[in-house]
Amino acid sequence: MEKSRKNVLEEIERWSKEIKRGAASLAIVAILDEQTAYGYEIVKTLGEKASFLQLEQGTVYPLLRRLEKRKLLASEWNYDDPTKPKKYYKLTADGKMALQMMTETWSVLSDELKRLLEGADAQ
Amino acid sequence: MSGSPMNMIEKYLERVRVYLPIDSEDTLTEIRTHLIEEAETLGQGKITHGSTMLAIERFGDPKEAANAYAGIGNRVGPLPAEYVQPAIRIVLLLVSLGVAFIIGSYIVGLSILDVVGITNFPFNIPVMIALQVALSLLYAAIIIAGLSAIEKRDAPPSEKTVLESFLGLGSDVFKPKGRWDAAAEVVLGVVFAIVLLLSPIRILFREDFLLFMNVMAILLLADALKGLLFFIAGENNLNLLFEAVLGGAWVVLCMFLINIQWPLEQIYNFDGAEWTLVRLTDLPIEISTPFSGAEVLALFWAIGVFIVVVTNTWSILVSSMKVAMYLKEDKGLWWQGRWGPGRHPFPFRRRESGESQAHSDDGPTYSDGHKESDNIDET
Repeated sequence: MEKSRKNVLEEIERWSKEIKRGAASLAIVAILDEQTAYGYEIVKTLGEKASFLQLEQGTVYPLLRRLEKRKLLASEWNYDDPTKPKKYYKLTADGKMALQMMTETWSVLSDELKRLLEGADAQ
Repeated sequence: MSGSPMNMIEKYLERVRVYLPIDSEDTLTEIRTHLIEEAETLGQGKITHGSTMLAIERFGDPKEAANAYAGIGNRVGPLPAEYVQPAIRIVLLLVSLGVAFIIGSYIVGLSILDVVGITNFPFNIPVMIALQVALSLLYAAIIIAGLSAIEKRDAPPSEKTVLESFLGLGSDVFKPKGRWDAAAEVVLGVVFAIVLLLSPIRILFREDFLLFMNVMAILLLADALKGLLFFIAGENNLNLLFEAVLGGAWVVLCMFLINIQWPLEQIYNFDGAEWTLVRLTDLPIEISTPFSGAEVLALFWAIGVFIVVVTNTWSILVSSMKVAMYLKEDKGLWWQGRWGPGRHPFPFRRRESGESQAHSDDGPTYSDGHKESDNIDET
């Protein structure tokens, strides 16, 4: 019984990580659609507006880097405070297109899953 | 946990660096800013030891960051995804060292390939490389698996694990040249070139070696020019290509040098009244070895040539890998690159100023050329 419960929890944890990993990219792109922001601001905004993601702070920067490499984000360094250089990110045209497509995909996924779960509840 | 708050942050960044690709300086700069801001927030405007430790803990395990970067699941073949980047670097390191030693041995007349029984040139080259890669993969896998098995993580989050210390060797190699190291190349290159061209020095060597001394002086001046370029512009593709070509020129020169005998014929001797020239063959030295004096000198000569070949082959391989990396990033030939941490020429001044040893000599320099001094207010 204990082992079975452990297996379930492990599976839930894995599933949860996979969901969050996908959602994190969408959340970052959505934040940057509203304003340009640098890494720490993005991490803080994610913590406030998307706390369900419960992201380790350290995972945000490699995600930003990946999105930038794929040309969804553009960046510019700001050295106004020379001890804390800040890399400001903004959404590119490709990023805006990706946001639109990701939002649509997420909506479809969410609606269909909701219907599926309502059906499961009804049974 | 020892060290100042900034030192703790730098040590933690070294851990993160291990798991990220070679060209991750921008990411590390961002993370440094994040940790400083988070520590300031937690310390209510001041960076304290406690707030820094908490900021580091909140940032999370570097391996998680690496996983997020990889974004490809938990394993790549038999290897956990977070170890892919450091493992690639370690394999490159081992293969490059092996290739450098094989080329060095071949030039001084000792073919390692003959030892393993593969002599059918040029077909032995792919065999040699395949063998090197296979052996390096095997070594890396054994070391990673072994250290992972014995590792017990009870150290503070800013301290490297034993495995990370090993994997960090790979990232250290790819750090850019320090600015003061580049400056030292300029000075040493010019000084040695001048020494080789001075008549009182040239008179010590055999006649047939003088032409090679001229070539060596030219290469040393080129080395100084390379150092100057690195000093001015840091690491960029033009400087790296220059370094690779220059390394190749030294290797070619060594192919000639190994075929000549020990070149030093005379040395200066002060007899109490004046300096006179004494021929080496006239020195009353008894060598109690089974080899003759000429054989011992030939051995020294071969070892010297071997060292020059290995170090320059290594330099060619590392520069080539870096150029490939920068080309992949769509960087051109010339840009204001960065400098790595180097040996500070005035360490006592560094201590007086309380500067963290983990920092670069002149404060951080960024990929777009911006540069400033490090003057974080540590509390």
